[in-house]
This record gives sequence, C-alpha cells and structure tokens, in this order.
Amino acid sequence: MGVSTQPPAFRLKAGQDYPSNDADLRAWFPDDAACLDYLEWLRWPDGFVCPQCKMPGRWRVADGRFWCAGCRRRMSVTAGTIFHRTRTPLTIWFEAAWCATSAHADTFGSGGNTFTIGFVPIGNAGNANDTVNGAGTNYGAVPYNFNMSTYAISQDQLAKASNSRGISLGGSAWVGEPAIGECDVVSGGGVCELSEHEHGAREGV
Amino acid sequence: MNYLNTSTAHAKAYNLNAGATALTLWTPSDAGNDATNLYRNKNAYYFLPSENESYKAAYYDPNKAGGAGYWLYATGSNAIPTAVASGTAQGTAVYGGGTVVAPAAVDASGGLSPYLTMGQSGNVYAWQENALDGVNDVSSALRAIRGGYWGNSELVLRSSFHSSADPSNPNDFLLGFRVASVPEPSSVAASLLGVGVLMARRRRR
Repeated sequence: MGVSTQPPAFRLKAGQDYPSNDADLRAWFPDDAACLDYLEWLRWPDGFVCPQCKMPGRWRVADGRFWCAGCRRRMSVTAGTIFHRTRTPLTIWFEAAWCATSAHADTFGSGGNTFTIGFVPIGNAGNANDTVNGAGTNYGAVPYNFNMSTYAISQDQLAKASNSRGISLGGSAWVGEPAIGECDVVSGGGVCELSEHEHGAREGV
Repeated sequence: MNYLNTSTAHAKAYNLNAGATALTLWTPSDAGNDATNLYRNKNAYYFLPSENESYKAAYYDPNKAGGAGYWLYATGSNAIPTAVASGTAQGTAVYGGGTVVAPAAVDASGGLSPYLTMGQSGNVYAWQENALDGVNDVSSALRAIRGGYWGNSELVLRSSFHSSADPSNPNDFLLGFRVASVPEPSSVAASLLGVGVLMARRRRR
C-alpha cells in the first residue's frame, strides 16, 4: 500500500486545521460523514491518489467509499488504518482520540517532589480584542496558540518546585489550596482580614 | 517559573537575580530578548500569562452563538455566576464573602471557561505578567491582576475589571498565579486527533 503524505504538523493551525477545543470537536464532527471527510483530507491533503494505480481521479459512492477513476477499484479512506471495518462510529473514535491528546500535563521535579501541571490548549490564534466588555483598554487578542494551566498553581506544587531548588517555604503546603501569600492579620475566627487599603484596592475604589 | 523552564532544559523566562526584589529587564544583548516585552524571554517555554493571554483563556468563546466573542464572566456566560464556597458546577464561582472566608482548592474553584480553565473568575486573583499600563519596561512597575478573590462582589469577577499589585510584596494573600506555555509542533500534531499517528502505526504493521 502506498504511503500518503501527512499534512506537516508545523503548518497546522488550531481552529483551522484541527479543533481547538471540545466545542470545535462537536461542531466539526457531528457524524461519521464529517469524520470521513476529515480523514480524506488527512490522508490526501493534495487530493486523492489511488494507492494501487497512483491515478488521481475518483468518484465517491453512496456508502462513503471511493471508486478509482483509473483502476476502478473500490476503496475506503479508512483502509489500512485502525478504523478499517470498525463497528464503532467514527465520532466515538474521534472523541476518544481527542480526549487522549488535547489537554495534557507536564511533569516536574523528582522523587517525593514530583508534581504535574495540567494544561489546556488555547487555540484560535489571531482573535480580535474584546471591544464590548472591556472598560477603556481592550484585551484578549493573541496572535499565536498557547497552553494555559487548567487551574491556578497550588501550594503543594509551589512547595515541591521550591524543594527541588533546595528552598523551603516553611509552614504547611495544603494539597490543592492555591499558592498565595501569607495572611498578615488573622481575626479571632481564624479568618484572614483585609486592611482598608487592600479592601479598597481589591474592590476597585 | 524559571524552575519550570530550567528543569526541563528550556531558557528561563525572567531575569531574576538571587536576593533581588524585582526582576531585571532583558536587554538586546541577551538571547531571547523581545523588544516588545522586556519582562519575558521569548525562548522560554513556561511563563506567567499576560493579561491578553489570561483574558482570552477566561472569556473568549470561539463558538459563541452569533459568532466568536467574549463573555463577561469566565464561566462562558454573561449571567452572574452562582456564588459557592467550592465546587465544579457550571455557572458557579467562589466569591461573595459572607460564609466564603477562604479560597477553595484549585480544582474545586467553580465552573469552567469555554477553553476549560477553572477559577478564572473568583477564588484568588491571578497575577498577570504585564505592568498595569501594558508597557513592560519598568521592572518595579505595578502588575495587573485579574479575576477577583473569594471575598469580592461579582463586579470584580467581570472581564471589564482589573486592578494592580506590587510585585515586590510576596505576601499578598489574595493573589495566586497560573502558568502558560507554548505549544510544540509535536503537541499540535497530537492535537490532530491522534488520527494521523494511528494511521501511520497501522501502516507500519
């Protein structure tokens, strides 16, 4: 079987060449026909070429397979892949593959100081600024794709990173609690109190 | 942040010297100097997200009905989030004070944004990389903060609100932070639903 050209990864753009988030995934691939269209593009980004006779022309037949204009063979875009003759809907395959590859976690440290940070992809590079909700200055335009940590960094992640550098932060690092500064003033009820200045600044007055 | 980079063989993001209370600006003679952002080294892999990056991850929705755009809250909605002390229900956020007297665990800090980040409205403020004026050319400049904390009103959770904090004060107990990273070509390829990879594996058999 001939090996098709894969679209070079460096040319691909989230939101344009592949889904950038879960909502994209559902919108792009509502049914198996949409999945087959996408697989066809993946497999033959420069147009169909028969893997047997190498001729470029083909007709699509009713069951979603192709009829080669050169050798008249019938073939499927999934032939030679793990999707071939699968009874599982392609939409399910796609969703499973998406779940396995979109969000990811990076690992840092070693031994008892090993920790991970989970990320989600922020695609749709080249979006415009928010001109509706912004107060004065507009924000939000980012001309490139990037990843954002799913959560704020936690105390235990910060403690393990610090330990790895040979620095002890002291105190207890609560698993899951956000990494924030220490409280200067604690009320009788154990609640951290804001100074008037802090309260004013944080309420924007 | 620098540890995340240097421990994974990447260039450090920020020019920090031991004992200093402020970072040193990158200069044209430094590898990775970016004239448009003297805080961040452009060769770094992990970095503190800028206000534009945070704003997009929190409020932008590429699949918003009527066309891509921004929401007022980082819950994928213009409806005021339901105030909770912790949890993951969609449309909720940790804010409002009253019985909410402490931040929730980072993985229980409210509903998700359209890009699936959690806690970008409420729980703890997030430090932004950039100075409040958006010009990153003074190392000691006040930095922007966003998202509000557990004791704020819903007004502070809005995309239209930001404030500032002094980066030389490490003990601000209302401020947390997130990590952003650049996507590698390999992760872009992986985002391609893993389909190309799966196809290639099958062909090699």
